[in-house]
Amino acid sequence: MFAVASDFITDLGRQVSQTKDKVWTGVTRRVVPALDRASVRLNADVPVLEAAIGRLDATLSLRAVRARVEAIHDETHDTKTYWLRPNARFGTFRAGAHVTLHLQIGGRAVERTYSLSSAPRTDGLVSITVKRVAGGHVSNWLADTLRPGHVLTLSAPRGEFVLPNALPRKLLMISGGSGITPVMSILRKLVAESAACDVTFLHFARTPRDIIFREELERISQAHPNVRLAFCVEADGGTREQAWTGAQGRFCPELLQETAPDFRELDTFLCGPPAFMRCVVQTLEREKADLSKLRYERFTTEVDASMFSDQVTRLRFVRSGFESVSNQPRTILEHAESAGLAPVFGCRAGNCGTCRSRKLSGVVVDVTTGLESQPGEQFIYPCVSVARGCVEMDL
Amino acid sequence: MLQSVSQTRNDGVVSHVTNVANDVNDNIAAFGREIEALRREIEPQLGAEDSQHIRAIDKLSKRLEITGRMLLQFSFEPLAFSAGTLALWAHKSLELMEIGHMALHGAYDGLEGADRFESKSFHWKAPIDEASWRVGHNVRHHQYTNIAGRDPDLNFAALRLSPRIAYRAAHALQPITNVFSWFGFATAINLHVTGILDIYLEKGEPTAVPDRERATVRSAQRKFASKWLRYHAREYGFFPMLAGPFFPKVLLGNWLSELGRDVHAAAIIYCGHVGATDFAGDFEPSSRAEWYAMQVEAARDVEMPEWLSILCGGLNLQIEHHLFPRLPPNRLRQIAPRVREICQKHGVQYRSDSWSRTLTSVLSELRRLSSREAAAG
Repeated sequence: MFAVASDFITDLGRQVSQTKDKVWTGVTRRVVPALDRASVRLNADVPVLEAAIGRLDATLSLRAVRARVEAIHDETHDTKTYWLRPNARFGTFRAGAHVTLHLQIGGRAVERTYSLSSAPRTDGLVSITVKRVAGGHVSNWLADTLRPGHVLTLSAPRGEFVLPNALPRKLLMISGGSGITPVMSILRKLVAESAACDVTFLHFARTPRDIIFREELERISQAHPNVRLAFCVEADGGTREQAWTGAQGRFCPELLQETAPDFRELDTFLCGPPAFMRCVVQTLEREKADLSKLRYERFTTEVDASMFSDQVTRLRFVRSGFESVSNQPRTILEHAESAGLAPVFGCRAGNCGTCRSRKLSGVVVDVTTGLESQPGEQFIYPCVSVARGCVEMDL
Repeated sequence: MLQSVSQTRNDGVVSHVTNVANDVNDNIAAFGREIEALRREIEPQLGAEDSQHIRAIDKLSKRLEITGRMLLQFSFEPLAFSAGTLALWAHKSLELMEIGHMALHGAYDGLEGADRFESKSFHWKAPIDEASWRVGHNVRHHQYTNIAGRDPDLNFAALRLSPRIAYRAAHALQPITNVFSWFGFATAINLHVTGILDIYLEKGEPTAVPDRERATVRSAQRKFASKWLRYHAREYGFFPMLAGPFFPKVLLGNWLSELGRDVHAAAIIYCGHVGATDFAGDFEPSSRAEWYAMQVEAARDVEMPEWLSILCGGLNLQIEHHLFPRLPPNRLRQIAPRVREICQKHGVQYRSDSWSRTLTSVLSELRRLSSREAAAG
């Protein structure tokens, strides 16, 4: 009699707690995303409220972009992809963008910037793909410590390494090592949209087993005749059962000539280690390629200083985040337009004043007078101004 | 001189360039180099002097406004009333031309202490929509000056300012409609640049607006009305009402000053291009030098003393203004003698005469254009 009653009460208790859990998860599943979306509109930074919603779910925040790690996959022996579900403050992004992770490792705040390797998806998941760097503080911490369920703080996505507004008919993508990630993001987007665009994808790795996304890339190139794929490895490695049949060696103009004979006129996306990028840019310069069509992504300032020769102009459009590199003496307005921007203009002859905009730094030459400007911040007329060296525009 | 070049091209013998045409081209290139040298010399000089000038003019204009409005409010005899009207007229003329027209050109952009006259944010004390003006005037009129079909200021639907504009029956009334346009000049300009004239009076395709779709028409009407209504509510509503029982007196004074400003502006602005060289629709300057020469030949100057030139906003120096649209008016007055010298040296026609003689020739030209037979000049 007593035993029956005891069983009944235990059973009831279990059922109550199960129902409570079910109701609670049901509520949070509906309430958390709604709160998340609502919190984006709310621009008040109230600490009490921040703490309250943070207790409900760790990704909710009134001020920070946060993301929960959903899954972790191995890509190669030393590279992992981390799938993240960011909160609504993350916003939308264009394929090729990057984010900065704000981490606490051993009680110290560290920041690292990584390209998103996924294209924008309907389920809201984004991924970063990180290779272990020998002795690397953060990359090893990510690989060893991060587990699904952890919550990260990161920046909103930004970046200039994105497709132009008007999609070109042909693209050349060159990547080296883990520099494949932003290029992969762009390729995934093109494939997902079945874009009418011929892509030549050139990837360089140390050995065949270091090729990140190899299987997916091979699948894509088989399913999509408009995607041409070429891998090139420095050394065979000799660990695989099958021998390496692809190209071998370092980046060279002959390889470029072979895979993309019209590379001089193509829109080109380049990302890789500094030495690799310097080598590619210098080759393109030597081969008289149209550098205004080159876009590159770099995470070290070391690249920029020595990557180009002196005749090349580098234009940074700071507000929109675009960058244009060219060896052609075109006006800043023309460069902005070929980078996919649409600044206002009128006469295009320096008379009407419509295009007047702010130069942040650098020297420009007025083509109507031949006069050089001051190097500092000032207003100029982009339709009659040609950049000298490196110029930053508030466009 | 330019016509000979464009003539060669119009005849379709581009490849067969005669020696004469070659000489002309060399001459134009030399002319262009001298004009650009002048530009190189003047542009770096822009600064404190110009900023001081516009601030002094602005101060004068403000004093004239206060004086004029006070006199109109509190005058009890015709003399003070007339003085008030005159002061307000001078204020409105300065605001329309020396300050407003030039500020919207960007003449005072980037000058220290002249932030209020920045072209993109400037509010014109005239019943004209600034954004439409910048497109219609700064871009289209200044780039394609006197080119039939491309310069909007050759064709005001019912008014034809060049024999290259197709004749319509309405043009027969031109001597009369023209005079009417003088009395509501600022309003006519607003109707013109916002595209209302094109939409309702032009028989062919409108040029100031892309089409006659409902949305386009609505937007043109809104652009026209927003500035125009606010301006006139102030002039004909607010200030007269301040006078209480003397409402009609202030209304009359304000209306007379508007009229004075309009007739005065029309009398100088009509002198700018009517009767100067005009070009066929397919004319395209092949170089900057040719563009400079074309700008000179498409405009005419009026000789007047400096104080009157300030009251006309430097628009008596259309030739200099068209060569350098972004140069402030005080600089136009400074460089005028040198531009004349350069033009005469290279045989580019520099038209300059007294106001009365220019106005007489403009009026007779307008009468001539009212007949179908007026031949292309």
